Amino acid sequence: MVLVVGGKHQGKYAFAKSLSEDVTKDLHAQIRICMERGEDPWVLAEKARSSHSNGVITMAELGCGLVPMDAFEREYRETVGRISCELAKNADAVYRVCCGIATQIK
Amino acid sequence: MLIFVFGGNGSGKSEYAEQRILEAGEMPRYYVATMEPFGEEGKKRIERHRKLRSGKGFATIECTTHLEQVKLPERGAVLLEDLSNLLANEIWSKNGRGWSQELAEDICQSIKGISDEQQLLVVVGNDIHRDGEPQTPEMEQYASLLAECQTRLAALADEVVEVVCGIPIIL
Repeated sequence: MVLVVGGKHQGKYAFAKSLSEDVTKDLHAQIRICMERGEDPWVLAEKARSSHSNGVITMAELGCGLVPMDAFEREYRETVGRISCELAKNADAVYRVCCGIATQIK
Repeated sequence: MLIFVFGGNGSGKSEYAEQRILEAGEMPRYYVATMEPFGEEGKKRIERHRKLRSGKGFATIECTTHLEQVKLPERGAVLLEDLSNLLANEIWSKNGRGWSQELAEDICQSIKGISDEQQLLVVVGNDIHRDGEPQTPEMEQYASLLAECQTRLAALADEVVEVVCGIPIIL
């Protein structure tokens, strides 16, 4: 699995598509929906990883702002961060995309 | 040796900073803790960090304000975590100094002082400037002071490392 991270609207998806047809797009958005439903986002992340072992997962880097006032928003961005660490650990390669430019960081 | 590690929330920067201390070898290890335990979430966060460090031989030294007063008994490796808390406490805590344009410079001066006496100092900072707009002039001022603090520190440091999803990037 290849992980592609970066800020929003930076060209993660276009880059991911250039690597593979099998792209799981915006995992962070799926994590939010999952958490809003009260389900375990780690189960979702593990499924995304194991069922697309030759695919690419894109997700936004969310933790680079001021601490949100809302408790759910804080927990959400913390969870997205921790899950991206875990996925990065198990990824074959990790890229960060900034202004459409991808840098391989693993 | 002074290392400045920074990253976003949940980026794995603490784990990386701690690893740098452990890699430095056997010597006294100090953890300078800056966080005031506000509410359940704060307690949980502190507990998580304690668990990460447990069994690794860190002596914890609480320092929520006034970094210049920290006394470390021996020369060794020090992990200071983190700058956003320290600055916020200096500004808003009842024991803090309150608003001052000199805060960034003074905090960096104190960091330099510790670093000069120690074998290794790793300081953890926070990448808070890339998303969202500060909602009040006070938050804007805080963000600007933190940025000044981190810019000064980066200039002083022997190594500056950004951590992205657990991966260190040398800047």
